[in-house]
Amino acid sequence: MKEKIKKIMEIKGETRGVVFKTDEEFILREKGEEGLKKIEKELKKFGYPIKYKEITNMAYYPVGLRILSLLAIKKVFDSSEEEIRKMGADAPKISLIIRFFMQYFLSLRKTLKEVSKMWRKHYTIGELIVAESNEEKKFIILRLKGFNLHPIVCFYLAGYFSTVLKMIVKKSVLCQETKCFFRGDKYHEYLFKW
Amino acid sequence: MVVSKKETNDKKKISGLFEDLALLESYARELFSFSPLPICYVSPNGVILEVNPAFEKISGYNIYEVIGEPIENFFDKEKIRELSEETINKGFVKTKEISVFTKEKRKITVSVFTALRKSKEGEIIGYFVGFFDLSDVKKKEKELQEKMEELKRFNRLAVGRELKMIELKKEIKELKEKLEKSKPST
Repeated sequence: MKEKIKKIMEIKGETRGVVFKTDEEFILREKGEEGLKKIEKELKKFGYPIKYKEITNMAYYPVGLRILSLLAIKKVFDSSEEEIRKMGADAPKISLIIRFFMQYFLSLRKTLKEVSKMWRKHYTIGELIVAESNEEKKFIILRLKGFNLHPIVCFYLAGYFSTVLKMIVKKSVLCQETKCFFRGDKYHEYLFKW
Repeated sequence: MVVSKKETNDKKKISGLFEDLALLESYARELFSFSPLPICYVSPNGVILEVNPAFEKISGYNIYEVIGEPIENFFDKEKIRELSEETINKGFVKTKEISVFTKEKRKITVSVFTALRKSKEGEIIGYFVGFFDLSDVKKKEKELQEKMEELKRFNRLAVGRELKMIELKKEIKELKEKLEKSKPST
């Protein structure tokens, strides 16, 4: 396990603190202060402690911590993939960065133009692009390249992207990860339908 | 690896900026939370992006159930559309009556005010919606209306009785006169 964690922490790149703040909100809501303490204890055991309350939304942190935070949550609360996806789906609702991007939520076309920029506001690595979109047929394919962190992040992002899209199309959005680096593909691809 | 003095200074500056930003953010959040009036922030396409605790309290929904949802899910559909249009056209709306629908399916009449937000390029980036509960005012209004009706009824009754009395007095007077006339003269 220690070796795995070390490898995770060797991944180059940084993430904005906002991702930990949304994790913190989720834990507090679902499991309370006690739950948060348990997660922090687990992260300490991993050898990379995170003090969620001390994290600031816009500061940068090693991207490996993003994975560790999710892994600690999964381990302590025995969370299913669906629960991790739900956690991702709740995150944009309280994300400061998403609020900054709200001006682009006027139309789908306008929002899609800003997808890469929105990604860059969260992570210093990876590239998110719109591979295909069809408003009439009501679907979008998002492609994520160079962001091969851990399968747990795939579930989280599926939920996250679905909520952001729901905020634009104002309808429930179904998401499927059609391509995944961890299943042998070159990149991740998410299909969204509404 | 040698880190130059300039790099260290830049890092210090950036770290300072992040701290300032965090302070500003917490100030804005606390101010928003402090308001006893329910407030929400709506995107240009009519999706709620932020609500304060007072909004959660009056609506009965928690933040996760409200954010990301269309505003018409919580207000009178027709009126909120008019309100949004007016806000976008005029830049604000001052006091307009509208209904809010709570999680418990209660309908609350509120007085709404709005303010438009624009980017520095002049593009509409959303608008604030605030409101205050008119339930107590409406209740008092109803009570007053009922009292007025009661008074009117009483007034009608009192006036009716007064008229009847006048009529009776007149009748008595006429009867008295008749009686006087019918008495044999001495």
